[in-house]
Amino acid sequence: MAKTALFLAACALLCDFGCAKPSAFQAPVSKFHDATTSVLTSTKTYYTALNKSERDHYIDQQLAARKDIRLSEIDETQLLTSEDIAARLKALDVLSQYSELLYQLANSTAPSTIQSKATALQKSVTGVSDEINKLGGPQDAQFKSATSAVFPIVGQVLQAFIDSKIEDALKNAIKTGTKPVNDLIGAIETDMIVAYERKRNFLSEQRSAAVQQYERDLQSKVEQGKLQGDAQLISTTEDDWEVFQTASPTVGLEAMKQADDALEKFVKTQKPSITDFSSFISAMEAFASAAQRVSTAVHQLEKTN
Amino acid sequence: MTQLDVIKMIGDVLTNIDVVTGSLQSNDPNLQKLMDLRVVLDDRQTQLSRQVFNDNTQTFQAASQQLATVNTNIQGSITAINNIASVIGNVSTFLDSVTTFMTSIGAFL
Repeated sequence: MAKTALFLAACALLCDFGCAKPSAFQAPVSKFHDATTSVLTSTKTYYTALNKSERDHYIDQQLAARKDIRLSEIDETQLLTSEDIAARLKALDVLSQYSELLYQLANSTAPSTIQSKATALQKSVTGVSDEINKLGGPQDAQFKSATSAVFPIVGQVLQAFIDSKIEDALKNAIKTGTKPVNDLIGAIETDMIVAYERKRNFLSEQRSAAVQQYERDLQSKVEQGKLQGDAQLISTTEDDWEVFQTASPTVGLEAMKQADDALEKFVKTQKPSITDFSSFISAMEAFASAAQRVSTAVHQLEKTN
Repeated sequence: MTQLDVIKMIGDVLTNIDVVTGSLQSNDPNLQKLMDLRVVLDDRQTQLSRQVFNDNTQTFQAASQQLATVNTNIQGSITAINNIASVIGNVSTFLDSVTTFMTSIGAFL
């Protein structure tokens, strides 16, 4: 995202000190890009699963209490409306495409392709902004505020790309892009903390329910096959619980912010030393590692649920 | 404290309750009592998750601090399975404190 632009500008700064665009820089840019994509994908998975968790919880509760299940009540369980979720997923898409574009800029010698993509993305930004402005739910305020700050800046950077003012675009991204992008990540993080806590609540309840079922069947002296099934459910639930502890998307988002900070610090360093460059690479690798860990856990949970 | 901190704190107590309910005999009369308390506490977390409060106000900070104090006081004893009466008492105290906190910040308006 904007931070990738910061990095590219860092490359440009280094070039000012007499070096050509070093191919060595492509590796950390690539890591940053891949990790960003991975974190955004994990975040999307959480957004998509958010309402499902609430629905399933309601159905389980009604079943346990032997109460009616009503569609109207299912609708009331949803934390975010379908419009809320759709708008957030589209905002994530914009960030992802923006990252992709900047990545291509670092790795491509075909600016005309980038220009046409920038034009298409600029249209998307306008459309998504309009959609987000229409949201009026209680959970939307922070998200709306964050996107209204970052999207105009993304738009300006894209316009500069379109006008072939690449350097201006990068400088603009450095000067104005850091805080708004981090604020948008922060707004997404808030949603993710709530989503993670609700999921933790439901999984924890399932752990207890699985053990209680086994206990009831044991007391009722059910056949061995049924008891084995109960024991298998306990085992599976415990596996899920264990994986879940490492599946917090906020870990990836926090790592993303730290990688952003490292990029900004690197850019602000007038004459980067080998040590500065090593620290910068380490930060990108730490981000990639956190993103990979979260992605693996989220993917594993997705398969089991 | 922030609103998210309170949501997490309630989540910690819920997971502790589940450890206890998952350790009781199915015919233990305390099991249903704890599960009933859990339903209400879960409902409180749901309500907090659906609304956004300004956690920078003095009212929010004072109320959340009181809740944090209660939470600290019951730490450790909330999973004491060998003293289930104490567990139920502590969960009830925490639930009352959450209700007071939410009343203070206007969550039930």
